[in-house]
Amino acid sequence: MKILLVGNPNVGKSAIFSHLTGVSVTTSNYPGTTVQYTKGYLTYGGSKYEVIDVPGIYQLDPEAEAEKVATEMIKVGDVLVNVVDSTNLERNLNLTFQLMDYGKPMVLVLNMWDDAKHKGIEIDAGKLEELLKIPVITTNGLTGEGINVLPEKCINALPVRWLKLSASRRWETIGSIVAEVQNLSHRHHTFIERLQDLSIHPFFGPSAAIILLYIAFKLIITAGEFLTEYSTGLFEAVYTPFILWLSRLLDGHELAHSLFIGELSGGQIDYEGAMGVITTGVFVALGIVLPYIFLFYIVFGFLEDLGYLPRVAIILDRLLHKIGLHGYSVIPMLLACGCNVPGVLAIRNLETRRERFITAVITCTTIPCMAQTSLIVKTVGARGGIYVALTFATLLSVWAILGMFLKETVKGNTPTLLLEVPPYRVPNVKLQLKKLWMRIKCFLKEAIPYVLGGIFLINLLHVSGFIARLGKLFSPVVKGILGLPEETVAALIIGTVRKDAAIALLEPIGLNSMQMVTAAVVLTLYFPCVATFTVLLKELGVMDTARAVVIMLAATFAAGGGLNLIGHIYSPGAIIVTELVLVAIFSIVIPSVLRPKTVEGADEYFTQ
Amino acid sequence: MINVVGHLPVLDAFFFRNELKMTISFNAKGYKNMQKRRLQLVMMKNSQSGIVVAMNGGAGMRSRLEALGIRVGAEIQKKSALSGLGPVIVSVGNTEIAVGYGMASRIFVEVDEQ
Repeated sequence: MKILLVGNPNVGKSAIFSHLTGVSVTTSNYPGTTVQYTKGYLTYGGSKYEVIDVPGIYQLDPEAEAEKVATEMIKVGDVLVNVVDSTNLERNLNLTFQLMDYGKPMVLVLNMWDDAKHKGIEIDAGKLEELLKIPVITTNGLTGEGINVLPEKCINALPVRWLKLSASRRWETIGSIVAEVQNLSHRHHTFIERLQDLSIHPFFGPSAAIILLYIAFKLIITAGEFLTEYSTGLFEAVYTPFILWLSRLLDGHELAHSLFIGELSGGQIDYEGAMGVITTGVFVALGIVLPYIFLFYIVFGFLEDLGYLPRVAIILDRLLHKIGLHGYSVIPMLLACGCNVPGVLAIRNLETRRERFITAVITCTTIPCMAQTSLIVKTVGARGGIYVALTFATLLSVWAILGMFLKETVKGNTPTLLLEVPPYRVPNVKLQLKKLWMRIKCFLKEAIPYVLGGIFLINLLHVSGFIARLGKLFSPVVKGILGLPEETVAALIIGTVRKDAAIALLEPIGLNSMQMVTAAVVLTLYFPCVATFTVLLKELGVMDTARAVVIMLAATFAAGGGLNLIGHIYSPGAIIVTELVLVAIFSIVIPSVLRPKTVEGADEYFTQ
Repeated sequence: MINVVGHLPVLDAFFFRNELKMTISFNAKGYKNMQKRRLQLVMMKNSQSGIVVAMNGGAGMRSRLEALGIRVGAEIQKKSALSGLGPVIVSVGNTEIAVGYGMASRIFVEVDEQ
């Protein structure tokens, strides 16, 4: 028997799913967290039931990809568990009535029961059950209160018998039902509500967003530097003796030694330069990337559960319209700052092909994941902070110019923003820790094999002389256009597997500071890592992925070539200024050259 | 898919401009000095409330708005709006919803004005 959890976005279906099945899934406080359906099993009374967490929907008229998935799922379900946000009964019941048209057994779950009480909303659940003729239970998804009676209700639920209503009749019926069961008591504005109003204030909202995002970024970088320093010390104290012992053991086995341990400089290990699988490989993954991933997801998890992300979307809506997107695209992009894979998956929440394509391309091309960012900060940062600034300024310029270009060239339209803004909720510490652990576990499981395997592969290619030959072959491109030495080809190959390992490979090559920046930029832009590429292919299809790859390569040569060209002449600071000027120029040139002249000006007004 | 770029809505808004200026005096008991005025959602003042009277858009836009609770007859309050052509944030029932400028300019609200 299949039990489906269906409901509006951000009502807590995933939290209930976790409690029912014991399967951990990401929960957060913004609409559209779940984009794929998740399956789990519930054992009750000796039998096993399949439980499916369906992405949230407002209605059964699918437009967004996520809604399409949900509608298909409902058709195959045996029991529908309609999860409802008690603080929004009227709107949620609209979907309930549409679900009742399927005539399947149904259970209504009034979730966020506590929230409703705090907000002075009283609902007579017994009366609602009587009126709708389906079982109604009250729960609190965060704590799990009330969920224990759900399995029994599901199994005993009977098929719904209800007359199909027209849309207007539906709202009328809902109105009269709500009037009968719901009782509102007046209450004063709380502190959190004041904060909510302030964060969308025309002036304070954007200022607060800039300050908050700056603090978040600064916090991650500063604490990250501290943690990596600490982890380096730890590695030297604990891991070095083990490696030295292993090195003595492998004495005489040249090949194995250079593959796994790499070069030792006089009894000491340079973890970033040794290039062995268990020296540099392990150190990059655990010593550098892990601390940053840890910090990023602490900060991000907090903002996510607080409910700040939709507000960022609102504030950036205008800016993102300039590159053919609307505010909601900021959520995939912010997710991608952690890891590009969930970023690309989140494009399903966008409605049109055009939005999905632009967001996916921009995200995969210009946004480095946290693993990569941490290595950029570490290796490029060793040459001076201005070079890190130059790297990110270049990526940001490419982001803006590429976006403006895609806006004018990709067909289709970008609909207006329409987004439910969830109330702020104080993040639950236990849930936060659980989510953090889930994400770190995912990183350890997914990343480490690729980092170690990638370095192993590249060492093997090195030893066999294949890299040298490939370096010669691509020399005109790498050396000629990008101004990088032939050895960089090794990093470019590994970059298709793991970006962090690729940047780690740059260290022993001996690049000058400007080449370092160019290489870091090129490694970000040229191609997504294999994990991202796989989801990109799945989400966009073969043709659009091919287009995306062409765009990425073009961006790489433009940015890398440009840096190579003016890198010798200008100082890093001057280049940053040049890039900003270029963005400004392109923002005028691109629309005037590419925009079809015949379109009335009024249209622009309405698509904004 | 919603037709946001279609020609019809553009014309609609053009004709509605006259209606915007039109105010309906309302002389029921107790409302002697009150006037009902119809205006675009984007023209409302912050924290002003009103009743939605018309939504000028395709069926797609309508059903999307309705599913979120914004429908003709619903009470709506404008919470805030970002400057320029930025989105408008409204509250309907217990939900806050951000509506892009283009869509918000096609929602018409009747408000009381002294």
